Amino acid sequence: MQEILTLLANAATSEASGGIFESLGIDWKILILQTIAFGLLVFILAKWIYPPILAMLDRRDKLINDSVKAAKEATKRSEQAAEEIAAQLKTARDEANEIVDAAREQSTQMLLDSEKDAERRAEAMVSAAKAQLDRDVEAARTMLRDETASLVALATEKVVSQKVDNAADKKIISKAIKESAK
Amino acid sequence: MHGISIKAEPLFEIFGVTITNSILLGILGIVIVIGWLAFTAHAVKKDRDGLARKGFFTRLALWCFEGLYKTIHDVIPNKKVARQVAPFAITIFFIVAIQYYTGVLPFVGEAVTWGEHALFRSQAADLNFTVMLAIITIIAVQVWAIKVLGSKANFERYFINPIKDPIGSFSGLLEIIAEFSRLIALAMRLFGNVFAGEVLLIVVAYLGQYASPAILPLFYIFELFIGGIQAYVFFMLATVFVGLAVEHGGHHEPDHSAEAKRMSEITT
Repeated sequence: MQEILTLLANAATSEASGGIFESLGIDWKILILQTIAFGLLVFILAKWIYPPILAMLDRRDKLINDSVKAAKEATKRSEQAAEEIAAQLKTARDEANEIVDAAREQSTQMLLDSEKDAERRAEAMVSAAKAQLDRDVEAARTMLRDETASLVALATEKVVSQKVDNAADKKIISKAIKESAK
Repeated sequence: MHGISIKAEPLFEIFGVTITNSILLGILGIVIVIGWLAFTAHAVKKDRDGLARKGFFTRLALWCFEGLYKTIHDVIPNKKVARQVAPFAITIFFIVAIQYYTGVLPFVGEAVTWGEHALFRSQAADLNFTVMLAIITIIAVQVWAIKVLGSKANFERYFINPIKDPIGSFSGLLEIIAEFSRLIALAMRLFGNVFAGEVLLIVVAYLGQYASPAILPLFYIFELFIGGIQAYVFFMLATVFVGLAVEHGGHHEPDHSAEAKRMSEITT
């Protein structure tokens, strides 16, 4: 034990008179020199070299954040658009259905209307024709009657060959007709 | 094999400051970090939406940057503080990763020598670098804690009246010790990993003899993996320390207690 201690002590003293610092090579002048060098290094780097690198990192982070935000927004917007399209499709389909229903109803109505119209017109035509017919029949009958009367008168005149008084004549004839009509 | 040195060896002096072999490689690392990120920033400037096709290195830088930026926002719910912490924490990641990776370049180590020392040594294998990063981290945590909580509340994180709250006072004391242990742990973890990694590469190269060209690439890949992990661990711890410090005083202010609650919800 004692040997080791003396060995260490010898090592410390034999190197130089400065003790442990000297034996480890620590020199305050060099320490100060080192400190100045390191201080200068930090100063130079912090003043001229780190700022552009930091600025670039900030820019890149900002860009990445912005891109992520934009992507999120785009996704949201596309979802919204899809929803909107679906809603619009739905309303369009509803509207189309409504229109078709209305058209169907209208066409049925029109069919009914036209049927009714046609019926009515047909009826009108039929009644007009009937009326015409009646009128024609009446006219024919009157004509026939007149002709018959004159025919009868002529015949009677021929048969009687004497012309009775015209008035009496007529009275007889109409009487005859009335009787015959009965 | 000249032997493995735990400290960076001095090469020459400028204005009384000893220039060690790790400083030379450290300058190269800083130039690479600035050049790479400036190239990325330039490529990004022309790209309006961030969607243009980019080269491999630009994409790699952007991938790292974006992942780290999101991690910071996850760890620190306070957006304002998170935005302030981001440049600091992300710079830690890039510089640690690059300083680690420059350490496995072929001309680093015993291959190219200056006098009797290696001309290049990984910056991360120099305690000056790791201790400096740890000190800056711990100071930065304090600065942000004071900014957000106020100097009084930050003071009360560590010094609590022992008569009013004996347990709290003790935990405050532990908190002070924790800050120092964090500092040492941060510095030593990174240094140990890089240093051990380089020693491992040397050992494998010597043990492998003629087979080493076949074996070494595997260990190089392993080193690259460890380098990424260590850079991320350093970055993560710095962020978490700030997050804890900012969240700590939440019990006094209703504004922050909501954040603390949210944070505990995230973690559970």
